[in-house]
Amino acid sequence: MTTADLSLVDCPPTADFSDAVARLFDGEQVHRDAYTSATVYRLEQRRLLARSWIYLGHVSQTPSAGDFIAVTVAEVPLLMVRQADGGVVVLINRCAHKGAMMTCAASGQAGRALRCPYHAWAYRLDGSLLALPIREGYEGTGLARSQAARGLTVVASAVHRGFVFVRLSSTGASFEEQVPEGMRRCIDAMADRSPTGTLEVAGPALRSVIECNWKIYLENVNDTVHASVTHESSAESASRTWEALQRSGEAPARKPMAMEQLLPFSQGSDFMERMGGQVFSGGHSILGINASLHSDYSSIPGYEAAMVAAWGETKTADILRWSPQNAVIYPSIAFKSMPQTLRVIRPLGVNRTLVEVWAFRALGAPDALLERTLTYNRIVFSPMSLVAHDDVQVFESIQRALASPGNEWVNLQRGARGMDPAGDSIVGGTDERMIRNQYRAWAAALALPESVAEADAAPHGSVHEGLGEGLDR
Amino acid sequence: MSIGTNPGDMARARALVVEEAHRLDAGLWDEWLALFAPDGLYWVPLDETQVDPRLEQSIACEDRLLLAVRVARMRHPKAWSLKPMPRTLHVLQASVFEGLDPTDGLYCLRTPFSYVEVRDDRRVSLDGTVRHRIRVSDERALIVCKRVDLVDARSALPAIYLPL
Repeated sequence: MTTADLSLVDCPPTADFSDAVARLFDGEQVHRDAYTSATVYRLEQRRLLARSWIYLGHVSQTPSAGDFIAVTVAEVPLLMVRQADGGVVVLINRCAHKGAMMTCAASGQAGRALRCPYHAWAYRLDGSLLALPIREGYEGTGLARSQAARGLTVVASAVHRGFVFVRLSSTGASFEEQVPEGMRRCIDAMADRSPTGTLEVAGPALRSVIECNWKIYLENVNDTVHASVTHESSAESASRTWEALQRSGEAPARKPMAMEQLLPFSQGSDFMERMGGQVFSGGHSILGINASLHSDYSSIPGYEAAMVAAWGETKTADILRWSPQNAVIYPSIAFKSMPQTLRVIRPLGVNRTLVEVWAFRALGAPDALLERTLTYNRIVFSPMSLVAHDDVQVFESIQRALASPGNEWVNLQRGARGMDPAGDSIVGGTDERMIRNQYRAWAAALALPESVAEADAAPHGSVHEGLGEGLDR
Repeated sequence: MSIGTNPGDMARARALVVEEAHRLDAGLWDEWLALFAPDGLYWVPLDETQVDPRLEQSIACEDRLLLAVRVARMRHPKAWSLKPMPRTLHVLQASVFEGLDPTDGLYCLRTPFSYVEVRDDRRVSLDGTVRHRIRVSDERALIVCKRVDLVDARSALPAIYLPL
């Protein structure tokens, strides 16, 4: 049996199985199995995550040749390695000899070669085999014909404005085909917030683990209506405390950044509707094309002048005006151009999700811009956040409750008058079309069986765990 | 003991560390907040090597205003994630006096600790070192900076619902 055959055992390509998968999203509702079934989760790994362009990291994390970072994507351990020519190559972190990971460090400097800690097989920075011990032991063995001789497996990667994406599957759509221009322009809008057009990762990421399916988190990024309900305690506590301070006469003349960021969480559904959104085929979206909770941040001294000097009046005005609430490049990231923050959603299991929160420094901009991003990340996204706690509580409760008998469906009908048209659209900010659009892409990916070539390169879950298991219904 | 310390002030600084943990675990939020100086800072860095609370990413970094928001939210009837209110326990090792800050004469104390937070069947357990910088004047000790370095700071963390 080949590897490709084995990988298909727990997702049998039978007509019944395909029918069951097709019923998980009916256009306006999502079946609970989408969030709770281990079989569906494994199917997502192969049919959605392996085929999608997933965010890996930023080139600023590997500034010099030989620098590497280690990141796990869809259960596959990867290394992003900076090359001597300035490019980056992404390799599977698995020695071609016996499978040891080349490094267990999260980041490091390899020098001119990656060397395995097990038997010292060594590879050039591009993954090709450079040297191995006891070379004479391989004379006449035909090693050159083996998979081992091909070196470390290279994974398809694409870089846009320093943001590195990978596609685990060896075949499939190119980055430009899968991530539409409208979304790439959102990355541009974030990078253009720097007077030099360059962003740099600022420190390590905040990392939160949440006991819920990853899709619950990603849906919520486009869920405007929850804010004033779920976060009422945060917005109200902020406004009461700030007002009391103002009454005492001890408030600073300039409203603190933290208050500018917390107070808008009280915005109601009228404002949220006016924010507007844009959906793109492939599950991508921009929430807040007209306005967002970030629109009314005060100007930072010296920033606008630096921008005008770099970009000119007209382009600066365009850049500063555009501050969507969340741009989603499906299925791995949600980011903002103001503040310069990026969340990476990394599924760890059917009911466990890692969220990384990265801050970016806009080179050439005043420190206060970075301070605004760091403040936002701490207050809104951190494991000790003043806001996210109430989200986490809801997400984890959803995961537990969906497993219960009775209602099998998650409802996404707000704004659904007839079937949503395919393709790109402008929508109201409270229309659940922003979420249905994610499931349209999700369902399309899951409906498409793996080709053998794809399965060969795709991540393989535990085969035995899934034997004999059907969809949980 | 270093030159410049005063036995009475040293005892007040050490007692403050113990009293602060007690007020957190007893849910005496306003009384806890009152232990911070007007310029006080509560800081949980992402890395023990961090020196700048302002321009490096931290798990928490809150001045008196934000701490007051935190306390107000902990009392808010619609703070959904605090229903029921988690119970906590800080277990402190004896504080080590690290010296007087040479510029402002603050008492610097380092205290290894364990923290547990329990809500229903959810139990979060964390360990670390807390560093207090304490101003003692007119026989009153106040926290100028409470820095918490978690052993797990760089790990993926669950929600930590109450102050460490």
